[in-house]
Amino acid sequence: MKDALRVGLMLGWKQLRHASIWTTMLITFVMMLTFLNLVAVSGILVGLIEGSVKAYSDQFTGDIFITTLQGEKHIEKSGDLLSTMATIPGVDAYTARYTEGVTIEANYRERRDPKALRDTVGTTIVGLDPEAEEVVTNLSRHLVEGEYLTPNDASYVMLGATLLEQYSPLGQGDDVGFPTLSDVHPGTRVRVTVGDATKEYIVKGILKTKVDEISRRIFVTDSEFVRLAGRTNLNVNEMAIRVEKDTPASRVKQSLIASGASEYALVRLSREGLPKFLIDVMNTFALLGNGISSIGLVVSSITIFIVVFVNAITRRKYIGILKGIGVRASAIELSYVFQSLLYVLAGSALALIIIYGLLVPFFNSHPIDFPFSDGILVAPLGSTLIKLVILIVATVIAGYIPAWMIIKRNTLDSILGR
Amino acid sequence: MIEVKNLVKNYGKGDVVTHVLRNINLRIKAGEFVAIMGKSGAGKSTLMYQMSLLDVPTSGTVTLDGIETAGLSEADRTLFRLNRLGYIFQDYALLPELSAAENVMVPLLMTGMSRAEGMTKAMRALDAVGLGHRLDNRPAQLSGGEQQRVSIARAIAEKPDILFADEPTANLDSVSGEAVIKVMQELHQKQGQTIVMVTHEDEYAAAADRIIHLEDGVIVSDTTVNGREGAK
Repeated sequence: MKDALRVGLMLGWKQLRHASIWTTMLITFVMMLTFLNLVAVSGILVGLIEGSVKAYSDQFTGDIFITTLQGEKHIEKSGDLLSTMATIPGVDAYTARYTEGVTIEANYRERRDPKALRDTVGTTIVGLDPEAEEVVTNLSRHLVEGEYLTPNDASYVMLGATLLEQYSPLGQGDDVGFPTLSDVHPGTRVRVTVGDATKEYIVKGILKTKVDEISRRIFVTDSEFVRLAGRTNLNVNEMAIRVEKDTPASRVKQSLIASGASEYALVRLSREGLPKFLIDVMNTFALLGNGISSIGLVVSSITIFIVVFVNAITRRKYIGILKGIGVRASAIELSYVFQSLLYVLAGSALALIIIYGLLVPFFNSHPIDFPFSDGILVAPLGSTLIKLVILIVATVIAGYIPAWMIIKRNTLDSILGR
Repeated sequence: MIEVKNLVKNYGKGDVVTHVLRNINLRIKAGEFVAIMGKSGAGKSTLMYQMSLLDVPTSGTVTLDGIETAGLSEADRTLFRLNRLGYIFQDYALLPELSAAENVMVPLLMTGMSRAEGMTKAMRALDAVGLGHRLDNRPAQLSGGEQQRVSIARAIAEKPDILFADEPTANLDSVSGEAVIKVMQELHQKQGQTIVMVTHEDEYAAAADRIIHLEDGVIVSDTTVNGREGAK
């Protein structure tokens, strides 16, 4: 077998070296496109949702998201939990948020007729520490108008853009079933009502992002929230934790649970908090991507099959001669398998350079602007390598079969071209 | 060395069977230089293909060095050809992408020889046929006569028991043809190489010790040339 391998490699390499450069480039190009198709199609389909998941974690939940237990209004002993959090190794930063359902009203100063329809929207108000929030979610990055809150801003509010008519993705006006506020900009006064309490705020900034939990909420400082909502305790509703770069979030989560956090709150990794339908959509897209990619795999296998078949059939006489002078069939088969292998390796190497050197960094810095998410290219190295192995196996088989078909023919018939 | 008994080779099936070889019986001793002659379609090449294990007879036996070849598998026949037989084809049959030395080296590497050893042997064989200076030339860079000499070098590099040559001069001009025959004659005379050569040219057949004439698949004459006796 060693001799067959040696001779096969020599014959394959020599044949490839003297083959037409254009043919070689074309086949390599096809293999490159196939591998790109294998990785990129499913990668973008998964990335479409993954972008949304990443944004959810980056902008809202952090790496670990702590919420109220079912049936509870607040996270009990929030102060203790926050103190504990500060001592847990691996916690980089955290932010605590108060939330409450509110009604926000605009244009009440211009309304002359008391019976006319009020310009109101029901939403959630979030009370937060602007500085802590900034460290965890970099919230100010999503300002499209105005300025970010400072800790002393008692009369200011930031609004999510989806609440405003001019930013509503569903079109102008309230007639599409989703109410929005008209003509509200930074500096506009709005009225916020929580239960029986109502207070007027000046809009300081407008936040626009594809994460609904940001763009459908309004934001005031935590101290202002406590005043407005009349909270007598300081128990919060949400906490978002950012862990240190090299620390697994699951380890921090375990530490939190071990410290008793789960007795008072629901402690979840960012991904665990995703709705089931989103996970299902992600799996479906991955499946769909793999299905589409497998068509590419079949096409490339057929390409290699045809190339090797045509090559072998036009060299049938030489194949016969090689067999005639005592070269084993396995050596000749290996020469064709080796050529196929070189095509796939060259094509895949180019594709890998394009994927990891160009596409992944490009889509990370310039996500695709889908209506509901910023799509990125998801190409984990592990699954890319698995796809590479699949492509190599498919190509090697596609190269072997036609060679075997030609080589098994009668030696003398091959030599004489019968 | 070569014993052919009741050899029959037919092509086709049913009503369109062509009887190419009809009950051939033949013995070729080690060290003989035998020329097989006959008109086109007489069956001379077909006889050589059966003796050289490139084809399987319809019936009858071919025994090489006491080994009955009928029972050999395709892989065994390939191995037998590699280790014990040498071939010179009418159209040289060199691989176009390999150099002269590499063409000679391919079967040597298949025997398990190292690349260095194979190259040494290939150079020696090419030197023996007067092409020591053309090692790196590819077939397209060689004349027909030179290509055929590379083919001879490939066939003799591993010193085969029997050298088969199928019309080795057919595609060559007379000067190149004579040069090729001269190389074969020297191999036979100096090294006692057993040679079976198919040819239809009398002047080249005269280089052999023995001439077998075929006609319609039957041996019609088997004569020794000028009383020469090459068999050991």
